[in-house]
Amino acid sequence: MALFFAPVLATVLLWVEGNPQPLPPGISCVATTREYAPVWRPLAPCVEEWDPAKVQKLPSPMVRYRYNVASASSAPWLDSNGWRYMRAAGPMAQAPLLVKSAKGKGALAASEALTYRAKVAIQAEPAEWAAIAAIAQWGEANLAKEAKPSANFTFVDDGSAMAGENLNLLQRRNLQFQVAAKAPAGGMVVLPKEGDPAEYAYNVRQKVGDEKRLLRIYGSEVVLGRMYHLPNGGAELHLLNYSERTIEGVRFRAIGKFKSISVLYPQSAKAVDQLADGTAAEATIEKMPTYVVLRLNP
Amino acid sequence: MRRRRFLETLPALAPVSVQLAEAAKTEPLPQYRVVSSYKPQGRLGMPGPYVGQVADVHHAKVVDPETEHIDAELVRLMVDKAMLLLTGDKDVRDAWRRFIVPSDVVGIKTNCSGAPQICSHPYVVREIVRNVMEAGVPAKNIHVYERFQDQMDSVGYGKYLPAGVVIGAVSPGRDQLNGYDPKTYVEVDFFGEEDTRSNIIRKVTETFTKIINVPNIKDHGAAGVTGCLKNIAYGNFHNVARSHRYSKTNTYSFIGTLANVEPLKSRTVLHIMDGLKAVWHGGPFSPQKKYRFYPGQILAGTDPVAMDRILLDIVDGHRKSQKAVSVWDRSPSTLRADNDKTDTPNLNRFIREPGHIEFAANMGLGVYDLKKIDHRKVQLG
Repeated sequence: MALFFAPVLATVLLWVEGNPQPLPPGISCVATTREYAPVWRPLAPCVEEWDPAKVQKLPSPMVRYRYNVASASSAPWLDSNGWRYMRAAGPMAQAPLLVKSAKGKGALAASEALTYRAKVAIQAEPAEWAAIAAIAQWGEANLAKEAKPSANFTFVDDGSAMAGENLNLLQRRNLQFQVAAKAPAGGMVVLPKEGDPAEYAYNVRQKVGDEKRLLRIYGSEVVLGRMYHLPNGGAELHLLNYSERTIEGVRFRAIGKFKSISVLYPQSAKAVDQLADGTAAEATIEKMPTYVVLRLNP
Repeated sequence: MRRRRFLETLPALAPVSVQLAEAAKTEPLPQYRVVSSYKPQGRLGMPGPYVGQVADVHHAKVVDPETEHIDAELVRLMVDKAMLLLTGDKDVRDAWRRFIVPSDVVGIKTNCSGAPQICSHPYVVREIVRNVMEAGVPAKNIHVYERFQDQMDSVGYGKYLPAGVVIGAVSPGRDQLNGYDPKTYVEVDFFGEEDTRSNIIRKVTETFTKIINVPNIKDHGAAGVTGCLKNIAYGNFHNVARSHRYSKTNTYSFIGTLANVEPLKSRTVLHIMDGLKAVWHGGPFSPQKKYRFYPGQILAGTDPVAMDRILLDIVDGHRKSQKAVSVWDRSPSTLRADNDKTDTPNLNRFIREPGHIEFAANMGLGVYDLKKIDHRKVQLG
């Protein structure tokens, strides 16, 4: 199955319950139970009724530092929902997705949804609603309407738990791929496999080859990226910082005939030390906040 | 042939540690890709004009082993003598002018990983700064640097150095890419880590015209010992700790590979080794006084390999006197991956790689063979 340039929209909803309270600008929809829908209708532009029994609850995105665990790696552990969103957008579409974000992680949860073009309801403290709304509003207004995931290979998802583990590690290793129900006619195909998912992901990485990987990230182990190719030959690159702090320097390398790199979001971010040689483009995000979106210009 | 099988086939005649050290040389090296647009420049860079030569000045009273107090005036005499011994000059100003011209911007690479207990001592650094200024370089063009801010702060160089000298670490935190040159790096995948680049400090490529390296004499749990080569290599690049995992360390080839990168190789013109205090176990850190010893030496040279070859015997000799296993020991029986830096000196956390010095020699960074090293020793007191 080939993925064509197609409308791939992200929708970020607030999950609301209890007594209604004012919503920040930028929230076009909220999701709630049938019980609470009537009391929120006067406040929200639209209200979606979700059956809690059918909702798939997702963990909050975050980073957990587990250094020195068996000295296997000093890499921190990222809780990322990216693979779930990729699966949901693929052939294994599942129930409506609800993220219960940890304190201070509402903006990251919203950014994840935009990055993976997912429809997600986010349950967060009211103090974080404005930040979530701002990101959602920016995404609706500015993300490329037609895009296709940049992909070194196609992962054939059979819906199994093992395939989920495989997807998780492939995504967490910043490999760029698309998800399909069956193998396409051409290109590199990756099938689910039992065993150590980390080793599995490394083997896939080896097969792709680091020099051919469409996206590489340097300088941080807590940043994940997702790239989309655009009809004009350019690309849109999303970078997510799962840590609690601004990172002093994150560099990326994206393969493509790009001539320059522009920051789309946030305006305060700077992409410095740009290199573009006709085969790839590089830049450093000098101070990496929670979320950065870039346009790679052809 | 897998490594374990290979080891089993080694001749039974040589001591086990020697056999195992030889085996290390046969392991396949990581695939390094060096990205640098800089070309070799001048004749002063490593191994420099004094290939295979080491000036070694000792004073028995420069450090008090009980209090660890350092005599600043003796340090001054020792640094001066080391430079005269190295160059053969009669006037110390002439010796320094062989390496430094007034238009230079000089980086002084300290070692603060064991600070504040052991580091490039402020008195030694002060003497270097004084001589560089006497060579005509203004204070504002002298940079005393290290990679990490907290380590530098624990020394407090500012109290010892003239106003105007730039004192600063590359980054306030450990994993920060800002401050490193995005265009000059070594790329290698050791263990499947995601970030495969080690970028050089940006000031090395964009600011400094000369670098003076000021290492200590220390044992090192991964590299075997740490002196000129490790301080100039791991101390000038980002993302280097990734070279160790489990009991395996890639210091054997990574240290020389990094030290050989231009412009670092060409701009590092002098090594002044602060061997006043030293560490015989637990390095590069030094939380426990019982693992420090006091050689009372200042070594100078342009050849980092020859200097480290001398250092190797100093550290291993002291370990032998303490009945500790040799830095060359590769025996599985002494290996404890969970052994922390404060534990017994007869256990190793990593398989140490003191062979990194000879590896660097084979890259053209200096002379390893003791018979070919002109080791000029002077006892001042």
